Amino acid sequence: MTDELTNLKEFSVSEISGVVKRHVEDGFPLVKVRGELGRVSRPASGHIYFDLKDDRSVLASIIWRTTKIIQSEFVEEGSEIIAVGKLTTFSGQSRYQLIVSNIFPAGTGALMAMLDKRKEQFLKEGLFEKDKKKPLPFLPEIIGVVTSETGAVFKDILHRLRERFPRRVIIWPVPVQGEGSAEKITEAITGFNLLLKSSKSPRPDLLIVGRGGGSLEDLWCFNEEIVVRAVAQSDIPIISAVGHETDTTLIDYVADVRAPTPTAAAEIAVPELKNLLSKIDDFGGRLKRPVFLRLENIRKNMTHIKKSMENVKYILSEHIQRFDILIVRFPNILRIYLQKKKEQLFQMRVAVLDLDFVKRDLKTKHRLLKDLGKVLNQRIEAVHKSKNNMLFSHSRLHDSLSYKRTLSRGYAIVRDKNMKLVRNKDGAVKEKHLHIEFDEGFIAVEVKETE
Amino acid sequence: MGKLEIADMNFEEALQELEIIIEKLESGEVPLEETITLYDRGSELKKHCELKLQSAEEKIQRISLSQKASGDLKIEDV
Repeated sequence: MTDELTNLKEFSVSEISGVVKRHVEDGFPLVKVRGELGRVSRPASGHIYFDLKDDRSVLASIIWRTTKIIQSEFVEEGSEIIAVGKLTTFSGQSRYQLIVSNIFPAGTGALMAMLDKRKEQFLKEGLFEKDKKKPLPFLPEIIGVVTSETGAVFKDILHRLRERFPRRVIIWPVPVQGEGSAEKITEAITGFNLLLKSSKSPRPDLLIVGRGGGSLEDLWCFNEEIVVRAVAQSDIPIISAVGHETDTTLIDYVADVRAPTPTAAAEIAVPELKNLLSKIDDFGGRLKRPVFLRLENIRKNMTHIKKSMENVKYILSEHIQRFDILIVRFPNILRIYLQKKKEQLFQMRVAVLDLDFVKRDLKTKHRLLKDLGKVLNQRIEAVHKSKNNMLFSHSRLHDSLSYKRTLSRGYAIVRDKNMKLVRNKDGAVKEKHLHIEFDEGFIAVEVKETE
Repeated sequence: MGKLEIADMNFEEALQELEIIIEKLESGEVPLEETITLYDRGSELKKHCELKLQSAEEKIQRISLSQKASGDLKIEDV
């Protein structure tokens, strides 16, 4: 043995194992290793043992049961992953190994497969349904932006907003890739929703969540379940703007509107101020025009009516003139008229009087007629009587004529000057002259003396 | 149409009512008196819209979370 060798410190196996362990652990407290999953074993203990390998080397890896890993579903043989953790040794087998704190799918194929799996799950849950989409405000007052403060995305959004319609913008700075970014983005989205609408804590009425373009791995946090669910549950409408037009993350499906780029998000978020100004200007014109036309029409009509009124006045004036003349003459006309009427009235009264007279006359006549009737009756009766008498006297005459026959026999009849029969001496004595009737005729005798 | 206080209206509500009023007026089927009322309201709505547009100005703020207490956040001007 040389001196060198003699002076060399001597370790026990455990001692050297301990030193190596310390060295390894101090040298690699946090590493990120990409590799393909080899043999995976999941014993009853709950820990997961697997080999991480590439074409030349193998790294033994363990996920302790107590380690909370979001995505352990793709820990299966053959898939390419990125494992994050610390290196340590296992003295019992003289091995060094990786204690995994987190693993991520690596390689487009693996990521895409996982993406499809999740997408299908969310689709089944209805997170992407059209009727879950909230309408964006026409003109948001406050726009909340969830993105990196330093990246170009925020600058692009501000720039486009400034051009179109300057607004109040509140940024919630978040890391947009790497570990913890999904949690921070989730916190920002729910945090904005928890703000009250007041001047102290102004709640945005629109959110833009985004980042610039990158690899699928770079954009991976926008595919994380917690981010997707936070967007789905947000009461504030959200525009997603992740990557470039060709990059699609799960947040794009769940957002209310997907913008292909951050600049496009700003364009979707606000209308163009100058368009609105000209629209308002146009509205002002359209508001005035019908009212103006209406009033103009009325004015025209009024003018027309005024003219017509003047015509009427002219036409009327002639009538008014006539009327004026008439009104002057009216008392005369009235008098004449009255006079006429008076006369008529008088005549009528006369007529009425006449009628009375006729009535009375008629009455008189009627009475007269009645009297005459009576007289007539009397006369008729008298005539009748006289005729009777005549008849009687005739018959008497007849009878008396019969006495004439006695005359022939020598008798004579004495009559007074009225040819009345004188029957006795007393009668004869009263008369100076008497007529004596003989059969052949009369002789007048003078009465001389009585014997 | 419910008569909202114009001052409480946002730009879109005011713009929509203005448009409805204009369409009504343009139809020419409104009595004269209502025309005047509609015109007055339309003018106010237009003024309100213009005011909203004129007040458009940029203001940029950021949220900063204090490290100590959770949920304690500040809004600062940038």
